[in-house]
Amino acid sequence: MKAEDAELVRACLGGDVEAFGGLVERYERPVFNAALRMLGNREDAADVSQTVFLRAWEKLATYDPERRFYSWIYRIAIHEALRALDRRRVHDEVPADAPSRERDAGERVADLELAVVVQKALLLMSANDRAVIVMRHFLDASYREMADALGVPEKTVKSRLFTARMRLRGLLEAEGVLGS
Amino acid sequence: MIDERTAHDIQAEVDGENTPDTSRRVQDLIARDPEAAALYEQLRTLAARLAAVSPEAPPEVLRSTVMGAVAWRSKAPEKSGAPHQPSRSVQGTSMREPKREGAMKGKYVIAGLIAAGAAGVILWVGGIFPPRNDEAAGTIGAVKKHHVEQIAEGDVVLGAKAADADWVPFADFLGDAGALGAASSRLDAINKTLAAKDTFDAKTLAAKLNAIDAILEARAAQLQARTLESLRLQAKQLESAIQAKSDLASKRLDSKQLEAKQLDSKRLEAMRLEAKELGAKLQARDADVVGVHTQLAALTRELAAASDLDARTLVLAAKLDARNDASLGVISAALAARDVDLAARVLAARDAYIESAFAPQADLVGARTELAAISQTLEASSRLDAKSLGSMNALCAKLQARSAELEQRGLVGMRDQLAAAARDFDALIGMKANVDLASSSKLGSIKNDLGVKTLDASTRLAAFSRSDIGSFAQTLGARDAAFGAKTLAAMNTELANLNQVLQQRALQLEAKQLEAMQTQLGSVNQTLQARTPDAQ
Repeated sequence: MKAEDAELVRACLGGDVEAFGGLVERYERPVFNAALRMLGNREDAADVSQTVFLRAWEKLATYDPERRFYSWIYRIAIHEALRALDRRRVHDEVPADAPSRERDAGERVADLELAVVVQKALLLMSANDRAVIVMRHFLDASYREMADALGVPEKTVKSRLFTARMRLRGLLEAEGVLGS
Repeated sequence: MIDERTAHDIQAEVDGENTPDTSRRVQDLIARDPEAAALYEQLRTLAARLAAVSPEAPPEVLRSTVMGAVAWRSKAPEKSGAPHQPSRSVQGTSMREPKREGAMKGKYVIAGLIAAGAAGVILWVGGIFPPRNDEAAGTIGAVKKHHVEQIAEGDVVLGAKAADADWVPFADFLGDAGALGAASSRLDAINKTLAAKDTFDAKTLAAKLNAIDAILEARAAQLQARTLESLRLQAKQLESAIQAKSDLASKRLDSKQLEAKQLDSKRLEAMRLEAKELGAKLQARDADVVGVHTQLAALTRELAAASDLDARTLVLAAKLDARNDASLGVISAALAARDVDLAARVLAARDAYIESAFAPQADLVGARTELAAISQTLEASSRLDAKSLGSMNALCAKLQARSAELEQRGLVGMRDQLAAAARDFDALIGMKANVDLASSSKLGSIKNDLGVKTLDASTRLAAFSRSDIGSFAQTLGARDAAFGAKTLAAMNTELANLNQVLQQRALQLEAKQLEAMQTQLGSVNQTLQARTPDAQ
């Protein structure tokens, strides 16, 4: 864990609300992107990101300073994203929209097609497969961190990650992003 | 076929999760198993493609919204005298404990609502609510925005802050929920306060409650209108952004096309220059090849000349040998003939002297004197022979020196040197012949003198006994014979030595000449071999 993270956490626990702003500033981007890759649209990703940080604030006292803060907050992010996906399935609320080309065209030009295709492929995968892909490739989580976050053995993480990668590879090949 | 464990190890290799030992094992497998290598490459390519997906920026208002909510949560209980901080009472709570979480959350919500209600009563009773416009500014997010500030035209943000509109619905949703909860709590608190103290006018309270309800309804309508306006604004901004990006892309495309044309023309010019340089290099190379061919032809000619020189040298050496042999034969024959002739003449002189000595026995002293003179003459002749021998030795030394000089000067002057040596030798032979002739003439005169003197002395030698004369004659004969044999043997030995020396010198000279010619041929061959690759 970075020393700065530990200091900020201690300050938060001491009542310094502004110190929590430092943590939000540091992790809003990876948390938002993880949620975006899991959920497929920015509004839901923003909602989940906000929930993640509010939960982190509420549960900050449960955080073990001996462990990495980013691992802890990524774990919250993945769980909140999975919960959001569960709610979406149960209540049949807002369907997960694949990002439209028109919307991304206004925001990015260079990697528009790749981002759209990858996002589309991720949304076609199961939530568990998507979670391991997102944790490994968009949060750079280790096998141990992934196992810790998902509450499964590392062996299961390896197996699930391999299956998810093969599935994602097939989807990307079908889209022409990867050569067969 | 790769088994599951091996596939997972290959995957872990891509992720950098293997131990050094496992990594080595997997790398070995990848190196020798095409299927493993293909799987490794597939996983690596997939990781690279996913890494190429750029992260997206979160909404600009995410942080401020989170911090507003955190501040609201932390400050709301503060007004009721219970400052909220991250709770230490829930340590060990797992993310996978929804019941306990839900319970905790419920407690927070109830506490928040009660606190909000109490605050509302305080505000109302204190005449603080609704707030004045100059008190509406705040940073605590949605709750204050809903309950303190009345919506106005200026609330619809345009221009640079338009991006915040993206988050107004979510913030308002939170604010609405908080506001409704706060209002309900406030109403409950008011009712409780009224029931407990029974000091407030029910009608006034009802009117104020109605006013609050009306404010809330108006606020809801304003929020709806504001949300719609924000959505429209967002749509317009997105259209503008798309148009701007399209224009930018078109400009970039035009610029790239122009750059490509310029680059093509530059490349074409560079290729022309390169072609010109290559042509010049080829011409220079052709000239080099011609030069090399010329050098090769010159070397070939040199080789032929060297071969011809070799042949000529051999012929010359053979001729020189023949000439040396002939000269030596002539010299040997001449010396032998001269020696035989000299010996014969000496013996004849002796015989004549002996014969004459018998006659003039009367003058023995004179005869002895004459004999002494003859002996001197003979000694002079011997000295002359010795001198001739010395001349021969000098000639040999000279020939040796000339041979050495010929070795140094080469074959070109050898013939002239040898011819000069032969001429010198011939001259010496002539000189020797003259000396012999002079000796013979002198001997003749001596003989004549001896004949005259013998006649004179014959009367004087009458007294000499025949025996004395006989012994004297024997002594003289033995002496002359010994002298003649000794002289002839020495001359033959000297001639043999001279012949051997000349033969050795001729052989050494031939060997050195051949060695020098072989060295020259070797260097010529090396030069040819060294130049031949250049020509190729």
